[in-house]
Amino acid sequence: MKINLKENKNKNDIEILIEYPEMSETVRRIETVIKSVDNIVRCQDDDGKICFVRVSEIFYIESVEKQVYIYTKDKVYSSDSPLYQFAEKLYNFGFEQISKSCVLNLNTMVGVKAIFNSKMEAMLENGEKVIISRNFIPSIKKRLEKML
Amino acid sequence: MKKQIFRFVKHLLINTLATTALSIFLMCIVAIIKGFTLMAIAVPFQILLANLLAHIGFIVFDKINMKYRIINYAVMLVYLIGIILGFGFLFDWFAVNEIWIVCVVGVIVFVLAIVMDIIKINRDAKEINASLDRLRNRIDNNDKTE
Repeated sequence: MKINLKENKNKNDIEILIEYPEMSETVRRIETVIKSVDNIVRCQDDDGKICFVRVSEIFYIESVEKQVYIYTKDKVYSSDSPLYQFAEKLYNFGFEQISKSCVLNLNTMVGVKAIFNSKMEAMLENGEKVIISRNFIPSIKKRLEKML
Repeated sequence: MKKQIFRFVKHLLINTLATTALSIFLMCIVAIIKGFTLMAIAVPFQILLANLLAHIGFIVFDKINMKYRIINYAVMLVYLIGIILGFGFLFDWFAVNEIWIVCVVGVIVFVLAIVMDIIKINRDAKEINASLDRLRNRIDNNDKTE
């Protein structure tokens, strides 16, 4: 894969052209990763101020007692939108539901470890660990195969 | 949601049928050892029902996250013995087999099911890690080509 960067003072905005011999999953992934840079999620910070977080910066989204929390590398935001909406909206950006209350950005997953109660523990790039429920393991496996 | 319910029911049925088969197999071995030649037609269905009830209970106990997993297993085991005793007295299982034999069979099935589950979850973890490694290698290779 070759990447050419060209400065053009006449352009008002960044323009990205992807040339490929044949449409493939890799091309689609590149497209979603590029799109996610510009994609933002509306949420609230600790002080209740409205802020916007880039989808690519989100590690996982968790629902705790009807409140949804968005976790980035080192910050936590909250949102009023239900978890299922995030799961649907962010599916194409590499997010996958890993338990009834958590949606994970698979791009941030470093590895998994089996734990005693038939569940798995996913280790993330920032050192955090999240629990994967048994029922969601087949869909994660399928998803990763698809991403390859 | 529908997908989740389907997955849940599928999982429940597979597990129930697997442990039922194992229970019947072990009961057949006990019967052979004891020199029995017949099994009542209703018994496999009673075992199936007992297993279904046990699995439903296990799912509920699984949701309760106790501090130590061993306590979870102990509670599950007590529940299982309760089901065995309940069904045993209800369907007269202990008329032909001693209570302890039926309970030992139940415990063996329980332990085997846990071991099989651990093996499966470890295999799944290995598969996921392998996929992640392949994905990482692919990204690294792409970076090198650049």
